[in-house]
Formats: sequence, C-alpha cells, structure tokens
Amino acid sequence: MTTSAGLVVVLAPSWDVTAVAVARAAATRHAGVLLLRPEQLGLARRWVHRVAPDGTASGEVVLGDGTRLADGDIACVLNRAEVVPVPRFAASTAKDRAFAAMETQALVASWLAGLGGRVVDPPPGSGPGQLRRRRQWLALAHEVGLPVAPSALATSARLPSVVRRRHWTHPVQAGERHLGRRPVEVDQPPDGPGGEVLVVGDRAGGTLAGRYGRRCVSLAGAAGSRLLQCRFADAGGGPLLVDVDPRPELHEPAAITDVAELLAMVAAAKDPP
Amino acid sequence: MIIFYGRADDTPMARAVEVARELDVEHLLVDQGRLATVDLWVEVGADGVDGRLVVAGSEVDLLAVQGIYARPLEVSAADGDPLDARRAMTFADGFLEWLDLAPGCVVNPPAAMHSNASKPYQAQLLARLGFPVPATLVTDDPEEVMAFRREHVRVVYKSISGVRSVVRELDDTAARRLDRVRVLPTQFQAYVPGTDVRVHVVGSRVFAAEIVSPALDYRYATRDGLPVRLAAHDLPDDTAERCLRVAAALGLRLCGIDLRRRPDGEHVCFEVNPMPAYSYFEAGTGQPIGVALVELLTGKAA
Repeated sequence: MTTSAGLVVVLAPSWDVTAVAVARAAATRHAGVLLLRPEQLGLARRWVHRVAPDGTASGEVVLGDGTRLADGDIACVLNRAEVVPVPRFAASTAKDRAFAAMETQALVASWLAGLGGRVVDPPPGSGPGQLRRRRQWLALAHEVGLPVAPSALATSARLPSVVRRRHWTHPVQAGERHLGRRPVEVDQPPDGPGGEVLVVGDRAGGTLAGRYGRRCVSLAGAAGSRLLQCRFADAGGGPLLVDVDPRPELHEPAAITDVAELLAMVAAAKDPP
Repeated sequence: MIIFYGRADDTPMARAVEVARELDVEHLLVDQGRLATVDLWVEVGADGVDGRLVVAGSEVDLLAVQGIYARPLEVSAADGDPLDARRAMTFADGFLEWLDLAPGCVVNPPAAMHSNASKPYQAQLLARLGFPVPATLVTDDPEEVMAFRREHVRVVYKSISGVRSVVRELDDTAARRLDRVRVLPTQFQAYVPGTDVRVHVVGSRVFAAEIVSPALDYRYATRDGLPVRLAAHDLPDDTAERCLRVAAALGLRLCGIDLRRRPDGEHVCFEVNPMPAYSYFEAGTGQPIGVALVELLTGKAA
C-alpha cells in the first residue's frame, strides 16, 4: 500500500486518547491522516534514511503492514511519542536491548529532524529526546514574565535552605526514618482553584488566556514549541504557574479542533517554519 | 570560585583541577565517587533560580560561582547505605538540572549535549552550519547498502547513537555478513580519504591537532598495535571560523570537532563531541587546552 501525498502523521503511543481525537479531527480537514504508534517504527519492515553531504535528509520507512511513508509524502507530523519501543529485542539481553533502543531512538530523531518544520514538536534544534524538566520550564517561564510557583530539590531535608522553608516541605510520612538525610522535593503548589492556558501555534486559549495568554505564547516561542499547555493554581495571591506540558491531554473539543487546524495549516504550508 | 564536577580519577578532569591549582584559582572538586558527602539545593521561584552546595558544613552560593566544568560519568552506588545511594543519585540528577539553569559559564549545559545522541541528526545540523558531512545511509536493507557501496566504492559503518563504536570498513568479509543489518538499522558512510584533524574549541579559542595513523579509527590504533602521531596543526581561517560557529550554534563552550582534511584541502566534519577528552591531545601536541579551559571558567578568556 502506498499512501497519498501530503500525509498528516499523528505519532503517539496507544494510550494517548488525545492523539486519537486529534487524528479524527484532522481527518475532517485533511485527506490523508495516519495514526502511527511508535512501536510500529521499531517494528518497521524497512528503513532507509539518507543524509547527503549538504545535510539534506531523505528516505522512507515501510511499516509492518506494508504502508510506505516516504519523506516527501509527509506533510506534517504531530509528535507525541517520547520513546520508540523495540519489541523485536524483548527477548535479548538487557545490554542488547538498551543498545537497540538507543540506536532506534537516534534514527527516529534524525528522521524527524529531516522533516524540519513539518514536525510539531519537538522543537527544531532541541535535540533528540530532549524534554525540559519541570523546574527548567518554570525558570524559562520566569524569564518571560510568568508568575511561577516555587519548586525546589534538596539532597537532604536538614539543609539550612530547606529548614528555612520548613512550611513547604512534604509532610513527614509516619514511621519514616532518617528524615534529616533523605532527599526531598520541596514544592509549594497552591491548592486553590486552578486554570490553564493552551498555546496552539501563535494562539492562546483556556481559562487564563486573557490574563496570561500572551506570555504563554512567548514561553512557547522561547522553547521553540508550537503546542503546550500551562497549568496554574491560585492560593489566594493570584495564579501561579505550576506545570508546563508540551504533550498535553486535551478534553475540550475546541482545543482538539485548534490542534487539528494547526496540523492542517502546517500540512498546507509550502515551507513550514 | 570555579567548580569541577566529575570523577577525580578521570584524566581530563584531573588535568583541569591540576591547572586550576597551578594557576592558583579558587576551586572546588565535586567528586562523583563521593556524592553522598555533598548536599545540593536547587530552587526556582518568584525570584528566579537559586542554588546552593553544602560541602563539609560550608554553604556555597551557586549563583556566585564563576564557572563549572562538568564531565558527568556513571555514578557509582554508595556501598552499604541505601539512603546514601539515593542521596547520591538525587545529587547527580539535581546537579545536571542545575547545569541547565545556572546563569554562569557552564561547560557544558546538558541540554547543549543532546545533538551527539544521534549522529545523522547532528550531521544535518553540521551541514547547515557550513561543514560538508560524509554521505550517510541508515538502513536495515542489505540491497540498499550494496547499492551505496557501489556508488561510493569505500564505505564504513558505525553506531547511529552516541554509543561509542569502532569505525569499521565494509570490506568483502563484512559485506558477506550484511544480512545481519536486517535485525537493526545500521549507519553507513562514504569513506572520506585524507588526514584526521581534531579541533578543540574552548570559548573563542581554537586548537587543532593533526592525527597521523594507518588505523581507520585512530582512537583504537594502539589497541590494534598501530602507531598514532599527534601534531599541532594550523587550520585555514575559514575552517576555524566554521568550528567556532558550530560550537556557538550548538551552545558548547568546549567541544571536540572531528574533521578529515581531504586531499583537495576541504575539511569534512564527522561529529562534534560535547565532552572531549582534550587531555590526550594536549599531552600529544603541547597545546595549552587545559589552561584555556580554566581561563574560560574564570572569565579571563572569552
């Protein structure tokens, strides 16, 4: 089977119901949509990935069912996969399995990079498999002017910096020993009502879009992302950013429609950014 | 003050510490082999980022640190005490996080090191930055490999990921085993004739070394009983500028760039190592790479 030109690929693990919903919505706007599981890449019948001396990438992957994905036929990829499983190596030694996983991940990263601006996301230039940790997102958010909830890590609960902020520390678990020496995550998530901003392309939606939408779009721009969700919580002093998710679970039909429209727009662009 | 983070017995780290001592630079070595004896606090909040180290009861303000040289290797589990092991793992994880948050001179932020995890991905970046790269094929199809070999005559193969592998030539013997690639896609590259050149970029300084060896992969020449000779090398200005551009674009203040100078004088780029064992080349050429590194960390060099 050969797919038609201009295919929209939604690459996501099987448990990702948001991806299924986005793929369905995208199918109403674009002729060819393929929901691709990462393990299908690990089980592909054939991989050909070339990099020319000038850096141009080209090639194709033939899936187990015979579906042929030529680079030139792919108009857009929504990448919601963090890892590419290698089921063929399930019975191999741990060392061989780890090697196969790294090699396959490296191949898929290069394949996606070769598709350039057609991939939403990881952000171009961010490197394969690179995911920001929560505090890195919060630090970047602080730089673009978003109010962030404090978050800290300590290797020992008895550090002066922890003691000074004792009211933050996770409650001690009954019966736990060596409390002073144990590592702690010291967070102060406000437990008041929350809100969120969803950035899709250069647009912001969600309950706090009016207040923080512009800065969340700036955050996405700083991270090179075209899709991310910012979650806020408010303990009475105003909403504080507590988390950022570049692969958000989406439940609102309007949000799913927005993402599907972004994919259709990327697919229609001659030279996506 | 500058901080060294890695293993005290790792030669490039030991050399940097030695240079700091010789230059009388205030420094602290955080030995990955003894992480359970050090504490770390990393915070992001309303005032931005903050971080502290506690060593032997003294607190070090990480925001006041001028520079950090990090060569994180495998963390050894502390014997006996599982809590110590957990604290060591938390430190290792947390300090990597800090390296990406720290406002000072970090050599290198982990986020900048990711491109090396996929060689063909990095090759795409390098070509965009002006370096020709070898024609590359990643495939699990033996017929594609044979066609690639017919096109390029001499072909080598190596790992796709950052896993270190010996570069081997796809000779007739290896070609007879090509069916094995069906198990896992493998990276093949057109053989590039010429002389190996390793370039170390340290901030805005460039140190090039020519490597003369009959080995296909000089890193393993000694193991194969083959000679290796290193000599300081003058790069053409435009090539040196491209090296600086590559390091800057990848966000690497220190890197080792593997080039091969073809007979026509053009330099082809194989890869950029974000954690180079510079001390080997310093010892072989006499180039003051360690001094340049410490000067970079202390702000004495750009």
